[in-house]
Amino acid sequence: MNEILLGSERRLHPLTMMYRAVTIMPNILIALFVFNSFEGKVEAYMTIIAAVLILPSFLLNYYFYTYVFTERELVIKSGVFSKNIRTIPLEKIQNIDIHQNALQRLLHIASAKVETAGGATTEAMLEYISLHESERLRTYIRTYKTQQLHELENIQINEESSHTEILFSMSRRDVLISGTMSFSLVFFAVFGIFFQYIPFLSQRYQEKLYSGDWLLGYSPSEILIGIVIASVGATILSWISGILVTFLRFYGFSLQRSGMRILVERGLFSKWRSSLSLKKFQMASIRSNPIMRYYNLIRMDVFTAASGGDRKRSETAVPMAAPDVVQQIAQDVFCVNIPDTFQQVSPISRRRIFFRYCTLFLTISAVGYLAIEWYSAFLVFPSIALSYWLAGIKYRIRGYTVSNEAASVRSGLFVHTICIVPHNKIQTLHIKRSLWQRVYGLATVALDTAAYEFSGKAQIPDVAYEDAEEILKTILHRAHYEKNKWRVDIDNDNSIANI
Amino acid sequence: MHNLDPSVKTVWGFSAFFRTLMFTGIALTAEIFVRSYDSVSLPLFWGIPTVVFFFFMLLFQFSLIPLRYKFYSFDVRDRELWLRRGIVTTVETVAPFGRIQHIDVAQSLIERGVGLSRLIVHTAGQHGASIIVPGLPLEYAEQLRNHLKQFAHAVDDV
Repeated sequence: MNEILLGSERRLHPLTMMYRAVTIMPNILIALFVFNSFEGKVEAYMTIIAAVLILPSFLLNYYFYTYVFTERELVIKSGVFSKNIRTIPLEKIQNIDIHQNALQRLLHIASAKVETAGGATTEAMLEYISLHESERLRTYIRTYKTQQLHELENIQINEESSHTEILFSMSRRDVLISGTMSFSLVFFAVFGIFFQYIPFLSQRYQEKLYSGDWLLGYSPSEILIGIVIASVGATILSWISGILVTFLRFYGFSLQRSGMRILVERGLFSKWRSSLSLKKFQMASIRSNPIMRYYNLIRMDVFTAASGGDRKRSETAVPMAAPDVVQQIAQDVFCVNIPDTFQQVSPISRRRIFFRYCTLFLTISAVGYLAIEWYSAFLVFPSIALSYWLAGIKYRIRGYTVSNEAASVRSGLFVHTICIVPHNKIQTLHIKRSLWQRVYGLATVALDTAAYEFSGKAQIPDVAYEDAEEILKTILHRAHYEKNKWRVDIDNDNSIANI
Repeated sequence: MHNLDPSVKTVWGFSAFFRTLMFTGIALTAEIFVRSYDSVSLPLFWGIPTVVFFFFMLLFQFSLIPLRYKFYSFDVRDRELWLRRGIVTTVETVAPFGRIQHIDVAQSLIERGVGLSRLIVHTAGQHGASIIVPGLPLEYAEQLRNHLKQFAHAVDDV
């Protein structure tokens, strides 16, 4: 066992106190500011006294917070006046997630989240320890698990399972290139915050904006030019923010595999190291936008079962790469295959999409006709044409493939998404039929897994009812078969799975 | 596919009545709100619109019950539980036994009155994860639960 960690009680990193003091500063300043504005000097003094009391409390908390790794458990003691002792058995610990934000990186400290199997929430947070120490904790847990495995199963561990291999990584240049191909609407949020926090600006502009009077002074052609300029501007802004967001998110990206876990490292200021259990893998999605398709690139995200209180359980496995690279990773690591050919859904689907778009655009024209000017009625013709065109695109993209291992669904308009759901991950299956679908003899097959995927892309819309039943039968048959096969696999390397 | 026990219609009748009362409450609030404006004068006496609403709603809710009963069916096959329901949008749900995590038998006050219960089958899924089979005689539901329980497994094997 790791002798350095064992035995002695340890405290958090001393810079924790400084970090806490720095992060609480804005609150104290706000309190001072608020009390000052009431012109009550007494309250201001009280705030200062409170501040004077708060700072020593950091010292006390730091002094009385210790953690220790014994042979079998992690013991955390805390509390100044009332003592708190929390014991976490080592075999229950599934993973240690390490996270650093920008300030923590400057101070070389990190927060370590101890995740356990049964618990609904994170069992413990060590805030904050040095990065070096956090790595050692991780190694310690891993060593413990490996040793336990030796004792329990009395088998030689395959060297490969504990060894970490890099599956995919991106250089700074790769990240920049991938940024130039992505768009982000985050600038809207930035604008929102900007307008909210500058009151004098928002007051004047809000009144002007919402009254709509400023529109009346312009002729229709001027408004049209305005709309064109605004959309070009929005496109450029979303492109720039796409580059920034991608660079911040995927800087230093690497995908690694260590036994039955995959590790993703990424981030520029806020460094993320997340680790997902392959056992909990539920489905994969492949995405591409028109620019990416032009250069023959795709992106892969993976979804895992929502574990405990953690809702967000998807991670980008490959931000951008050539299809054959992604295919290789998908096959080797996640045991799924990205299909090339898709079966088309019923042609009636096109009509249904067309009617849906028509309703949307015609409602907009009707509102224009009633609220703005009579000549908005002319929007009817381009609306119908546009609906027809978009419906055609959407219909051609819609497709599905049911192989022996997984069901894949392709959908989207400009951004294509392929959802790959392995048969052995299916929880429940649904055949849904709306009134119109029944009139045309159609049905939608929904594939439900334990993944937290709310966009509803894991469903095959508008297939003939007989086909839907056939798909359901195939998936069910494979699900029973795969499930049994899969359970045997899991039984064989049950303990490796958790390392 | 099996139909539900016919006395489930009684249970649904009660809930239809309570639902109607709830909607009527909303309608009453709306009427009070509208009448509080002096500029708006409804031609009818106080409370008449709400009462009319109540009767129409009751008629509507009760007329749905036989339809709902007709479209509700379930089946316990070799390896799956099947459930079909819905009047306007019909949904057919299949839950393989291997995916069941745990099973509850629940009984509301009204259900207890007519000796019925609900079987609630939980899976690890995210959309429509719990499958509810209403209108089962308590004994049958418990038998079904014990039958299905042997296939259920630990939460860990997602």
